[in-house]
Amino acid sequence: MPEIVLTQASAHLRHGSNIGQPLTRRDGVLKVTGAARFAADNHPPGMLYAVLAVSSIARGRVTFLDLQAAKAHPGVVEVMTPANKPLLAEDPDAKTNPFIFRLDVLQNDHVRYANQPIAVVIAETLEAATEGATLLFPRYETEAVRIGLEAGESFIPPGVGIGNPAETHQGDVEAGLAVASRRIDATYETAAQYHNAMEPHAIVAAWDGDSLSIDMPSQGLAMALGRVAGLFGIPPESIHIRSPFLGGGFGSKGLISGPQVLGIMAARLVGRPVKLVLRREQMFGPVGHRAPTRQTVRMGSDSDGALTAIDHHTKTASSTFDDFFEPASDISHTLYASPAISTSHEAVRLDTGTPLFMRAPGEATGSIALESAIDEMAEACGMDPLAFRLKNYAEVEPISGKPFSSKALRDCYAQGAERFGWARRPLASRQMRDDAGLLVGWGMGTATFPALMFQGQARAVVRNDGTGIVETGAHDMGQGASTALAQIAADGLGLDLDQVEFRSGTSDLPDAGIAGGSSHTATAGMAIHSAGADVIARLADLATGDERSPLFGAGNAGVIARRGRLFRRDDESRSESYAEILARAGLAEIEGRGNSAADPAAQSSYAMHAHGAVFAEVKIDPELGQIRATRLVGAFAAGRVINPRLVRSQYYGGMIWGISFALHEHAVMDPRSGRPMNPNLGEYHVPVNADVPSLEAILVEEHDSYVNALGIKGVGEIGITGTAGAVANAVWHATGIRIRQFPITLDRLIEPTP
Amino acid sequence: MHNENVALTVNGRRHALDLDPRVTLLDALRENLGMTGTKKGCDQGQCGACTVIVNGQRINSCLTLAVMHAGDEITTIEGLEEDGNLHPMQAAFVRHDGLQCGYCTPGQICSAVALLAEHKAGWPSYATADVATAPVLTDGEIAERMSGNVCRCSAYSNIVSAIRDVAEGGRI
Amino acid sequence: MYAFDYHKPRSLAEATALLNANPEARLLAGGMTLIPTLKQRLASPSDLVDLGGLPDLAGIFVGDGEVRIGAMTTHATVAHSAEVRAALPALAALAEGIGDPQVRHRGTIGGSISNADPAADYPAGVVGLGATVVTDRREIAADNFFTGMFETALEPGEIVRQVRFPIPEAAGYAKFPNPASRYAVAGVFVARAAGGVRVAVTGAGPSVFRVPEMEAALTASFTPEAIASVLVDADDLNTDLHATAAYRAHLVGVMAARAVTSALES
Repeated sequence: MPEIVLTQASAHLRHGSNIGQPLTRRDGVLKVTGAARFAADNHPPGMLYAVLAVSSIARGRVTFLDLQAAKAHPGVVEVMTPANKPLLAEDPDAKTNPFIFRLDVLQNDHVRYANQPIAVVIAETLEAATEGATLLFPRYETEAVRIGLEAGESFIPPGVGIGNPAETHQGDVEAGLAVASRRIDATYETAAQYHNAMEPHAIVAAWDGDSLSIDMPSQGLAMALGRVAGLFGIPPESIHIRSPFLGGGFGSKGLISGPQVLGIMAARLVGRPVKLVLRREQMFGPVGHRAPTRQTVRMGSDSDGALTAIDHHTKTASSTFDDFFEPASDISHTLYASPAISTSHEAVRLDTGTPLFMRAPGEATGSIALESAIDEMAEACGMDPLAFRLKNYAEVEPISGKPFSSKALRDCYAQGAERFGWARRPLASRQMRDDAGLLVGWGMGTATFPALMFQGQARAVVRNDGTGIVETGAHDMGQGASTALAQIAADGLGLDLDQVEFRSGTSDLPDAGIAGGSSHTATAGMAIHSAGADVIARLADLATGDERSPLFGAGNAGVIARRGRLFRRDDESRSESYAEILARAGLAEIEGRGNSAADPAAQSSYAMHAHGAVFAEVKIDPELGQIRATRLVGAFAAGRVINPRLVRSQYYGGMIWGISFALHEHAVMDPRSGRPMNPNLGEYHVPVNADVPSLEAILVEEHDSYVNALGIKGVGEIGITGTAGAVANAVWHATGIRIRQFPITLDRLIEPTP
Repeated sequence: MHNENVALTVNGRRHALDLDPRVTLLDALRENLGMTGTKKGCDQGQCGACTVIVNGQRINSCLTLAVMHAGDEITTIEGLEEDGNLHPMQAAFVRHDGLQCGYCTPGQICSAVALLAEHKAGWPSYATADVATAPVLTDGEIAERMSGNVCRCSAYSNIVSAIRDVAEGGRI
Repeated sequence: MYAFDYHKPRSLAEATALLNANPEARLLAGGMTLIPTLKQRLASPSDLVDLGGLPDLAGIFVGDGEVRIGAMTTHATVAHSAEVRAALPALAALAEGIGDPQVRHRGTIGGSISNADPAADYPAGVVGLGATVVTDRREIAADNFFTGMFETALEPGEIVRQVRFPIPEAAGYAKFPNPASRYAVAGVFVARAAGGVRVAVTGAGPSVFRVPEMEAALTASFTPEAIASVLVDADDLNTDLHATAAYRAHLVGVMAARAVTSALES
């Protein structure tokens, strides 16, 4: 039976049997019956449809829109342009903190990327709004576009990711390279990628005077609330956002997007509720993407295979008007021991939408380069890639020298390798074929992702019927937050799961922090856990201070909360139910509050990361270069597992994203027009069922006493890291051909004609 | 241009509609009939989120006009439950965690239900090695037959497990 | 989408009358290409004439040394037809490889060949087998039917009724599909009949084309080895997001050999 022990404050233990159980999703039945109501499923009375008109140029200005033609189309009610848009209280181009991104909401006639919104057509029907938007036939003044990493002037960004320094140096890399007996110097390229959640960004907005009601998928309700309040100049209390389900987010729904703000503006303009849903091709521009990179990794090692230096340099790109720089090099800070590590970034500004967090931003991109380079270094040393990684195993975080709060990576390597059969791998490439004559290769990669926490709050209530309510504005985007957090909530109150009502997904609840950075279970979970502790402490105070209670005087001994009762810790024959305690006190319910945040003391003392090892098999048709990932085994250690069924699904999803990173996803931009050339799922290939290999995810046991009281790290993003490199390394092992441009294209792998 | 009167039979119920002929079957279901279980993912027939079953066959409802379906028997995700009980495929998706965000799920399940019917009828797939003999529903066969339904969360292997479970007579 | 009027005629004569009365009318078969085209506003018909109400246009007949497939027969129906799988398994396999199941349940052979997408599968089968396209007014030999990218010999208002495929001694189809759309990056249909061997390539060039050098080599010796040294000139092939012309030229060679192997195994 799992036992939660608070590290601080409370003397009260809570026992529950929910954490650690592989429960099925609590919202599963709603989702399999079609009853789960996503944003675009809402249809308030009197609702109109809004459709974006987007720019077909990437740089310049709009000189003409045929408003007459659009308005003349039957059913069209209004066309919103820069000329008639409702005024905003805040400049959408103002940047007051790094989490505020500049939005394109018709503030002027300038165009700064293809697919930028340039007008909104509002109509009685979706068909009329769609046709009206095309009837605008915009004319433009066009300027030469800057597309591709060679375009524009390179500069060192002020910071990368959110607030990381662009350069970090530890030790003397050049000296380390000079003394090395083996060196590699390799350049890797990664493509631009688009999140492409299945649910397009959508909003249903309805004004009632100065009150605003919004249905919108959001990974960050509290931030969205603040942004909308600021833009429209209304108090947050008069805004209500509902986001009970997200049809996938992957980072692109972390912040309210320009098109969603336009939906609110459109509703304001026409004085009726409005629904605005992006078309799939419109998701290639205004709602973020993963920027392309070119990464150069230099490494040296001594004759025993010990690294002497790692130098990881990234060139990436942001938009011309805002800052998000993919922190790809930073992956080299934490994984491999080296006396000298240097990481740096440079960037150009391109005529694209602003890049954004996309599942493992920086880590995914950097990992495929670092893991490829490690594989190349192992090859140069004539060593097995796993032996090489173990040789350079980081006992402390290399960049900081801090000990790890926990690190079960050796177990991950061992269990993954055992399960995969890695010991049978021939050292040299191009040694294995299957019965059909396909080339077979095995590769591996190390997975890592930081254990982050944001600030969160929760409220918990126990009622006099013995049931509980736990509330926090958490976001279920498919990771299973509403299930895992309910499990934490039940244990936090010492109640059975069916006795607890868990409420989340709306903006009127306490802020659960953003669902990003694989931090949501830790952040929201710890807030819930603390709120539960607060309630139990209050209940315990009532009971232990009341001489009519069997727990009277147990204050020093402490109590244990379990199955709706408090037990005296040193004498469990003495107990009382929550209902009895509240009834005697004459209370209908008792409420507690909880907060969560990373512990700064622990953070300054320890490096906190989840780890994993991924082993991949690919088969390659030597005549075609056609690659299939056929088998993947991942072993991950990420602290306490709240729900192994859901965690395994997260790892599977991440691993498939890793395959996709290495083999499939590639947004191609036309260098002349600046337009995406494959803005659809028929040409931008995301994996389909037939692309998916046999998958195994091993949940490696790991206990962490420092990350937070529950010992939770994160699992949502780590699966991509390691996997992409493992697949790439397997391609080398199958063919002997080292491809350094991702995704790997098939024509590079064809056997030379004899 | 003229609206068309069309009677759509959805989940056994007849609905008389007066429709702009441009309205797709998907939009008619969602916007005119308020049956929002069927989802729009791409509106171009490339993702399968809008899969419904028409006269026993799975199709993309975004790639067909509502007016083309007068007299057809249309089954959506809302019509799979029987007597208030989940369809075995719905139950299997929950049991095997064959979903994450749930947005593609109605299409996946309609597709999977039709897949089993096709398999019962002895239809081969592109992955079938020998199209002359009755196919065995291997994991590879299921994956190929489900490749018209994109799941960006990538619940794919659990989707295959769920379908195999039902194909093998799984629990309800 | 441009606005249009919708018609569902109950006879071929009624369909023809509608087409004659409305010069900007378009025929609607399964809609798998036309509806996305309308959504992208790449077509602006005044009227859509839905052939779905003409059951006579759908159906499969096998006999007299040929397989006749009605224009409104879906890909799924062809793929799963016991008669087609017995008489012309390569054609059933071709149909089974089009798009995904959802598309195969709506898409039709008549719609596919009338649209003449350069990456569609059916044109390779039609040309490779030397089929005859039967319309409401004439018969058109396969070699004369496809005239260019999205272009055919069909005249305005002409309706495809049926495609007649002579049953060959052996036939095979192999394609390298685009992983996302399953369109042919390159697909090769090979058929051996009394009159010789035909090799038709789709996906690689602006329109389906035959490869006379391969046909000659295979007529002499119907083995994959016979065409191993036949190189396809990349100059005439497509370069796009999915593949370079050089890679496509390579694919044509590999797919042709695999199609021959498949024909020999069937």
